[in-house]
Amino acid sequence: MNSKWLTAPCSSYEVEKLESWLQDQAESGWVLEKDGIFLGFFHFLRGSGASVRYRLVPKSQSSQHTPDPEQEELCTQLGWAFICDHGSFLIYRSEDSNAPEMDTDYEVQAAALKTVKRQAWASLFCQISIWSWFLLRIGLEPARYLVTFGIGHCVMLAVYFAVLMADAMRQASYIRTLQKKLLKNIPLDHEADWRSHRVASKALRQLPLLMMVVCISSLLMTGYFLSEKQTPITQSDDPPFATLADLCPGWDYQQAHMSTPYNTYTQWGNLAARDNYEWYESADMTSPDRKTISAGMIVDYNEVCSPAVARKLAKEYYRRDSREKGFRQLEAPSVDTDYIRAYNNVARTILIQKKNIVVKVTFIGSAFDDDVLCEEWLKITLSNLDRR
Amino acid sequence: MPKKAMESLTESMFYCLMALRSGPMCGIDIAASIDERTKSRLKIGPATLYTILAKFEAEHYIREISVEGRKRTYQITEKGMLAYEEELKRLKQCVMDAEGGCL
Repeated sequence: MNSKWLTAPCSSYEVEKLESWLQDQAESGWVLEKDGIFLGFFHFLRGSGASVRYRLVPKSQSSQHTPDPEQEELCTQLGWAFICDHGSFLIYRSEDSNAPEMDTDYEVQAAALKTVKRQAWASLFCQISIWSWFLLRIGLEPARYLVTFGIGHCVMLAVYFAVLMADAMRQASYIRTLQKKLLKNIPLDHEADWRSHRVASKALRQLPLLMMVVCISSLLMTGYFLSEKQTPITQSDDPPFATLADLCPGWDYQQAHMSTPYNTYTQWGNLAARDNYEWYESADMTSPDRKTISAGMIVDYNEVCSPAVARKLAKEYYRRDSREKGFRQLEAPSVDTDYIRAYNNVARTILIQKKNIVVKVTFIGSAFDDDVLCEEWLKITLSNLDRR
Repeated sequence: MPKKAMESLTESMFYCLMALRSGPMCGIDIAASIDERTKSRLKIGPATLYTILAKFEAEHYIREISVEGRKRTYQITEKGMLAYEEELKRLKQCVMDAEGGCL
């Protein structure tokens, strides 16, 4: 075996331990390859086992991945080779025992570490901003995200933020300790014991990554899990809105042979929306005088945590639908609701919000060209909502 | 209580400004000049040198006047000169105090 991959036993900012670990690897015959760090994994090549020195030099900017060319040239002249960048540091190696130290002025070295501390806070701010934007985005997205964002996600995100914060604070505190040491003219310990608390440290460092992966995947999987919950509408309890059967009482009702999701519904509840339905129905209905109509309806029903959220959700439904090609505004029926819109994009749609409930219904089929059925649906649904 | 980082000129910083007083130079030339002037007594590490140059540039003690290939040439500014003179005065006073104490 001429090469191996390892993860470091400590964080990138634990300068002393990391230098010591790399030096111990070199002594046992493994030298870090040039540009040999990929996603936190260190690639070592078989070496001579000679004693070498590794030094971590703070980057002057977080975007810096290589040293200034002139600096690299001077380093080479003095016996130091640039290996790669890692976190907020650039890693150098010297096989020349007479090469001068990279840092010869402790006070200047302490000042350079200040940028690492700044970068740690900037990175924390950046991660929290991205996550907040992401949450805000999905919070305003109607469809499934607002109504599927459960308490589990909140707890997971809170823990994730806490872990991020704790890690940034730990990094800042560690760097501050190093700075204090340097300002007291005590050099860094390049032979520090990296073996202590190795397992705990490793686990802690992996935790934020793990939390992030779990959080993102669970959010992305939400849609999939909801699809898995589709149930035939024949098994539904009385839904809080009018169905096709309610529109034509006493008629012969026959479900149409349609592929899923037709004639199924999904019902779920969570933190932000305690009761939600996605209802797909299609049926042939025959009146007592043998008149047959084929009709369908798609209903999105969301009972959310407050009227303000319901209004936001209703507006977001409308905003999204109004972007559809062929969207046409229709005159909304005059009924007692807090918000109502009628329009036609794929088919005739009515969107209502009353208190903390939003219902969007899309009527499919020529039977609904007649206003009577639509008005009947509204009448039954609003009367159901009033009872809730 | 440890002092705050870079609140006054350190020996390395003082010698960097001293080197630049004799004319515009790049980092490698500064290191060579310090080595020559101190007869290798003061070895300035590359990380230290470039941290100092970055700090001096941010504080307007020096400014970059040209970039040729890998070489960046810096020139001392009036502010840098003043800082150097002030430190020199302080050091002279230290020497005078020490010599006076010996008398």
